Amino acid sequence: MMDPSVIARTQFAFTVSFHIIFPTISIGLASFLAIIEGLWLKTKDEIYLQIYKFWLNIFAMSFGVGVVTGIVLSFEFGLGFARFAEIAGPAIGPMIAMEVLTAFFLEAGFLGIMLFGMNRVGPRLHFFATCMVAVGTLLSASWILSANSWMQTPDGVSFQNGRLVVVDWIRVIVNPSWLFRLPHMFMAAFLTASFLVSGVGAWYLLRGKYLAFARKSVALGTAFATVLIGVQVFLGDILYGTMLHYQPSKMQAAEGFWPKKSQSPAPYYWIIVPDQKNERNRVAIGIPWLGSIWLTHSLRGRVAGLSNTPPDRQPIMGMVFYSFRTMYGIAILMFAVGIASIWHRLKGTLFVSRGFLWLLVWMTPCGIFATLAGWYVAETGRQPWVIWGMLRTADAVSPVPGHAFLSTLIAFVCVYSMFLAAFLYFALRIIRRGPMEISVYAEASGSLKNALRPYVLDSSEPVRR
Amino acid sequence: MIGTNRVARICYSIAALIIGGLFFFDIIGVFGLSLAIVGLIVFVVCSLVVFRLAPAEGAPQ
Repeated sequence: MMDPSVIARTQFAFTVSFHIIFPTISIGLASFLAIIEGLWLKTKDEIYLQIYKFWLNIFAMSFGVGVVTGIVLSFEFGLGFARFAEIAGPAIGPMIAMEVLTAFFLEAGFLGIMLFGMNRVGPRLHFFATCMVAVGTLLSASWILSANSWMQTPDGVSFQNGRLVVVDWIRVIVNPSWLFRLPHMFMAAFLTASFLVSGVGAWYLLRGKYLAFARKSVALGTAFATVLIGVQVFLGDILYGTMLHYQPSKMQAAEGFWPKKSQSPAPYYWIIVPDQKNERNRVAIGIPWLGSIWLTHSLRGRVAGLSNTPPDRQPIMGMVFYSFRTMYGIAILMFAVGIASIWHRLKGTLFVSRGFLWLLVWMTPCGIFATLAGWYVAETGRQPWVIWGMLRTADAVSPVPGHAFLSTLIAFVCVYSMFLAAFLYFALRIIRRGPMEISVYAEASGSLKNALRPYVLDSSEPVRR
Repeated sequence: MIGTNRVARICYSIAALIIGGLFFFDIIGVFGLSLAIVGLIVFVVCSLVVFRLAPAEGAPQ
């Protein structure tokens, strides 16, 4: 017989995994576009306008798919996880409503001007619209992160008559993990956009096409990525410490240790074959000492294992461990790419080293994979709880037969496959077609303040309003 | 800016690897939180200095 809770969770995992790809791209690209438009207004260098127009198309597509797939999730809360909605609705509901309001009023409102207003409104209003869309994506993400972080580290509520009642909204919204998870997610989105931009630029350089556009894309993308990955690994370590405090079993599973106290010095495992039932690893391959150095910041530190948590409260170690290793491995690779980009800059070979350019091309989707892996750590590591320490996932599922969940899951897989195929088809078509020639030139003002002043039209200059 | 002969390239590559590794270890907090913050600031400032001193747009094509 099909277990409804397993299929309901599989369905939610599939739909949310698909969804998160697109907001990640759009959050990152929205801020990138705001910076690029600001640079264009400041320098009047047409290359920035070319970059802006090119990535605007891909941003619009990812925004559209993100909105459509996001709405489905709200329905799933009520339809697939009715007990969760009933118990946690008073806390979660308003935060999700705020997210939707932010998305629709701020983002969608200004999106029209951003997409279609380039030749219809003045540069000041258009730049303002781009900034508002960027701010909207960030605010929207803040509310969702607040809701999800509350599920990880619930605060500000009390149980009354089988329902959670909010006693302090500030503590619900600014819950213990939100302040660390929010910037971590923002950095993930910015890194995703940076690697997309540099990867596409590298592809053009390798093919010898659109060279000016490609050079600027690689230069900007790698510069942003280098700074951002430094900040990201710092934030990641701070978040690790926070989650170790609030959700020890998640981080114990992420490290692949079973014993209540591991050996000293502890190795850092890269490959394990966990035996969840007997609470041991059948196979464990790692680097000696590194576990103590990285996790305890001491050469002789011991690392606590998952056996400290009762078996019925343990997450599935293999899922958490490999998700964490995937995310962390990609982060190390990104850091190495950042260092390599500085090295090539100093040598003057940033645009000619084919090996490095190919690396950038292969790294194009790495931000998406790292973000997905990070979310798998967060969500699978929280199990068996849907609200940490308060409500088990198995108790949150609606009393709906398994075949009903299965039929909608199949429908989602079919429809989302079409979404993905369409997105990839059009995105790759835009990339193949390349950036548009920009026929509008504007004088360099040398300052953003001047650039934001209304244009004084010169008869010798093409008209741009 | 940097010589391109083979030995120098290997030396610079190893140096870059060590410096990068040290920065990574420092930023993830191996040497303590205060040094991690200092390391992050140094990393970001040094990166920005490199972007300023060696603008990639001027690199040979």
